[in-house]
Amino acid sequence: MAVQKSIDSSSLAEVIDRILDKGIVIDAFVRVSVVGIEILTVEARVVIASVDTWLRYAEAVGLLSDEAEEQDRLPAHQNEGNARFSI
Amino acid sequence: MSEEQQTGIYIFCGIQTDTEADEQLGHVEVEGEEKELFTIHYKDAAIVAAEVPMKIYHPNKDNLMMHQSVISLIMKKNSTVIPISFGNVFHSKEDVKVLLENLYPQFEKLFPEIKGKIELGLKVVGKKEWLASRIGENAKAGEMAKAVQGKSEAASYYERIQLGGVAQQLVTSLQKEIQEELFTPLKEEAHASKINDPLGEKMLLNAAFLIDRDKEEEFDRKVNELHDKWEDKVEFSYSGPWPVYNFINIRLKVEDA
Repeated sequence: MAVQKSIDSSSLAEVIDRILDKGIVIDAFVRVSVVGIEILTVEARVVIASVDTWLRYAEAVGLLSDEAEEQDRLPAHQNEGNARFSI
Repeated sequence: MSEEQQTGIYIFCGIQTDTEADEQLGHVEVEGEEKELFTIHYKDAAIVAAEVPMKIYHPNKDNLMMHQSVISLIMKKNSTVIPISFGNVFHSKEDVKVLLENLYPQFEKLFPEIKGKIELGLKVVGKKEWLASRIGENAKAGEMAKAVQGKSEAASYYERIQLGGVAQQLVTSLQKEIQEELFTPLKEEAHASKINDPLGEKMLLNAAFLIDRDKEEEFDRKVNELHDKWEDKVEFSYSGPWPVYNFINIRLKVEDA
């Protein structure tokens, strides 16, 4: 009996296993915009165990607290003087 | 903050493209609203993006699938796609352009490596009966299991722990066996391959392979041959084609200004 190949995006687990911590990853706890893009350092690094990361990430964005905080949780505006590359 | 909704630029993937002109890429539905996809260019590279309300996008099912479906769509139109992880929103197109300029040296190296290639995923999970029969072959484990039988959980606490240790050793040795028997022959067919940590105790292999798009059927056949040989012992979970997530490993660190 032949093994069926499930096509991409048909399995949420397979999607999660990839898109949260693989590819180009921007490593910031608050993942909205980037502070000071000009000092951004590019670094190749071994990706850490995905489930753990997923959980930490889910926790970080409040997913594990029942999406109670669906509302925007944007950090406060700072550095109004130099708005272009600031949060 | 003003009442007016701020917008940001959500980024999906990098592509190699000759044209500076905006290609017709299509649309994406972001939390119920239709958004047009566009590209931000630098030299022969571009980032596929959409303008969205500026906020944190939660990794719920709809949002995750939205991200994945856009990259799938782009892969149908473009043969050189560098996937970006979920949930990144920038303030402006200019910021994304700066990001792309910073990434360009990496993109330049990556483009020829991934052009026309796809990722295929293979997870192998041991069938319960097979795992049980293999542990049955282990005399020590058999004896220990007998010793535990009939005793209360509390009375056999340490024996149970030891038994667990033996089981773990067995799984580790099975993982090695599967690596040699399944992963190694597939690896030879692929441009590159990667083993990820198994998810769950019964998973014996969690692998990804980088394959030429036009070699996909050949690889399918090879996977099927191995499946025929192993189907009594293990379950295969074979998936793809995926964007080459497992073969791009760029981490951008955001430093505080």
